[in-house]
Amino acid sequence: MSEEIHIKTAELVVSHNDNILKSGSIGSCIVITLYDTKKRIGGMAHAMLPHRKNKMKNYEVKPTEAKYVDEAVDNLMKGIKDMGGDITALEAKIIGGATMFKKLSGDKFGIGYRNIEKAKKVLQSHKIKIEKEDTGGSNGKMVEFNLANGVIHISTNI
Amino acid sequence: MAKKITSFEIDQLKEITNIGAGNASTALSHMLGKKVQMTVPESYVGKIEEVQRNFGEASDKVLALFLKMHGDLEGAMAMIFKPEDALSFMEILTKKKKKSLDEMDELDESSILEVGNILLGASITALAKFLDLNITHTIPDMTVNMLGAIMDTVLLEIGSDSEEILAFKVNLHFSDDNIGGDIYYIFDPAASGIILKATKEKVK
Repeated sequence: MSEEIHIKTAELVVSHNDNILKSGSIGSCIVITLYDTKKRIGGMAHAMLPHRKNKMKNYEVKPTEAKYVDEAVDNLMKGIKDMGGDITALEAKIIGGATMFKKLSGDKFGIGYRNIEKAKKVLQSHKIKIEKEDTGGSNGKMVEFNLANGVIHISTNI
Repeated sequence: MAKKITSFEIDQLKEITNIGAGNASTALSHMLGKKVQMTVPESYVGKIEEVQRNFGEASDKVLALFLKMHGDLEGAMAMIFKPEDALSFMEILTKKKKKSLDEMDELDESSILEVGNILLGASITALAKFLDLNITHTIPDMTVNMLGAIMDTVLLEIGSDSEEILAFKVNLHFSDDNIGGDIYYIFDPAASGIILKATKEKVK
């Protein structure tokens, strides 16, 4: 039985079977998905910002926390590994990082742009290949990730 | 927030946004010669992701105007219209009826931007005057997008440094035909502190 799992802002879920992971509508936030194609284990994270600004001492990042791109990727990998997935054979997809108000935030250096750049950098540092991306632009998106086959469905209402 | 904001302070901030929105509604009423009603402000206060979750589920298509405030405090305002309400506004202004937002032309766009500029501008001027603060604002920018996606962008524009946010929502609508929109005031904790301090000076 497949189940639909909704991912909240700044959270992540790792799952398997035929489950479908769904994001809310994202603007300059970024959705990162990782997928072990063989074992069909995957996760989706909805991150808001590139990285944590003030690292508190002894702060332990919760396994469901995905507010920051770097921690989200770490947590996704951890979750997939814990579920028995192979983290050396993951494929990544990134969606989001839109810039809606071009006049006010500018094309570059806006939050959306910084989220995309950070996601690429972090994934590269883990040697994870970005299979597909649908990033930037000026429109919000909703993402559905089907864990049965790894297919991502992106929709919008505009 | 170093110091947690109290419910009394939130009420004070609501009252301040009420003053601002009151001026926006008067401006709207004068501009179009219609009676305008407004709601009591609703507040959304907390971590940026918590506030976003209040809006994040909303995938409805809306038209949004957005501008930033600068000067003695940094903040933002947004005005959100449902598509049918945005179309009604444009029809009142341009005297031309459009079936959908996809048919918007330059005139429609600049007319709705001008409404935003006047309403939000009136609101900010009132705030600045009441608080004795120097606040300027950018011209508004416009997008047609999903509400949740717009709100995450708007909240991140203001709250990406502090990661805490205070958002206040007021609905303005014409009494006779219920056409209207929501005005949002968005501040980070630093700006809220400045407003509260200025309020204290004022009522001393």
